[in-house]
Amino acid sequence: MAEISSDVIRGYNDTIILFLLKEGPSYGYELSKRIRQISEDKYIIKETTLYSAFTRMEKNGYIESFVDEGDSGKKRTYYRITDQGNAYYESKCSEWDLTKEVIEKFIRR
Amino acid sequence: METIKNYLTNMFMSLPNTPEVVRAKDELLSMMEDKYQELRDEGKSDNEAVGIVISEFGNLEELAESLGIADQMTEEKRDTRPVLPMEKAKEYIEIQGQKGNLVSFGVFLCITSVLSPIIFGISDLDLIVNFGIAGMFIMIAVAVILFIIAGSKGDFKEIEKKTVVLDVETTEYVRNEKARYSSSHVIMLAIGVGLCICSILPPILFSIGNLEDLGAGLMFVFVGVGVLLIVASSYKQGAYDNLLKLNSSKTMAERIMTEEEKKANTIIGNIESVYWQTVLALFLIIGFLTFDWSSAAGIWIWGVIGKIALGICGKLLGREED
Repeated sequence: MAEISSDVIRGYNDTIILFLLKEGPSYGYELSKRIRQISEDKYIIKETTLYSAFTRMEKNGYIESFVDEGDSGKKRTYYRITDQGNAYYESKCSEWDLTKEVIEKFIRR
Repeated sequence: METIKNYLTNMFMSLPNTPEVVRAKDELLSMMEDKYQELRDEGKSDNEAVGIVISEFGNLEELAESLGIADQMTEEKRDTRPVLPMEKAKEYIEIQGQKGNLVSFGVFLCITSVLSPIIFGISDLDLIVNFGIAGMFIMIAVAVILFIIAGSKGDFKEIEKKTVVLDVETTEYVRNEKARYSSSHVIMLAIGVGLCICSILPPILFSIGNLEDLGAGLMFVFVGVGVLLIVASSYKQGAYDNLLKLNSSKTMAERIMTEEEKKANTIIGNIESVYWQTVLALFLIIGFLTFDWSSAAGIWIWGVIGKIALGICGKLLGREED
């Protein structure tokens, strides 16, 4: 089975994370677990990739962090999407449509 | 779980100690803990869970840009010193211990060498008196040989020049060994200092009649044994301290140090590490210059007072740094 190269998916980690945060605030491990589940084990995001995406998007104002204890009682850093983040997500979706359309033209089996 | 923590600590050790880096480490640890816990709940063994968590961790280079340390990852600011292998650290401790034994015995011989002329001086025969003087020089010569052997033992330039660092496991090991040794160190130091102070007693007690020589002789035996204990224990203690001092206080390696070890990294720590040796040297210099040993012994009382003052200064400075 072909594996996803991290170079290819890099540009879309933000999209993936923002998609999940649109469903509600979440924290590191929960997000990585959801990504794995939704991708049916085809994409396992590395902890360092996830964390660098958090800090980058927080700096750009796409997400906000806050500390919460959640259900488990363990203090975790949660992230929630901002209006800016929603707008960015929309633009990334349009970008993907275009990308997919273009690349498809060069794929023949 | 401990394995994961150590893995992360080792990964971060060379990075600068900034709020961003600390936060990143905490966050990553939290994610890894969650993942580990879930894997264990799924029935995976400790080894399997640790293996999966570490293999899916990623790499630090990816974090560099988001931590504002991209430049440090390539520049010399990053602590790129290699890790000292545990074996080498153990060897260093052992050799320093041996050196301590050799040097302390050498110093003991030097101090007690004056006994030889005293003992043989009792005789009226010139030949025997000369034997005494010869004996003194033989003892000093043996001491010098011991010093040379001690100096040639082991090659630990990397530790002396601080071109290596300790990883978590070795730090832990050295710290435990030091803690185990600390009670013997304190006892040896206390007895050593005690003997040096008490050395003024024999000359006072035997000042009557023609027992003066006995008094003087006993005094040198007291000082000799006292100094032997101080030097031997200081060498071993110094080995632990030197190893723990390798970890720079500017990087995340500082986070695996205790308060005491951080203090050892400061100037006061440096003074303290040679403190008793300095007092001892002053005591011997004054003693041999004036031959008024009971006055010279007063330096030990000043030494104790100074040590307490230094301790208070260290506490105050430590508080300011926080």
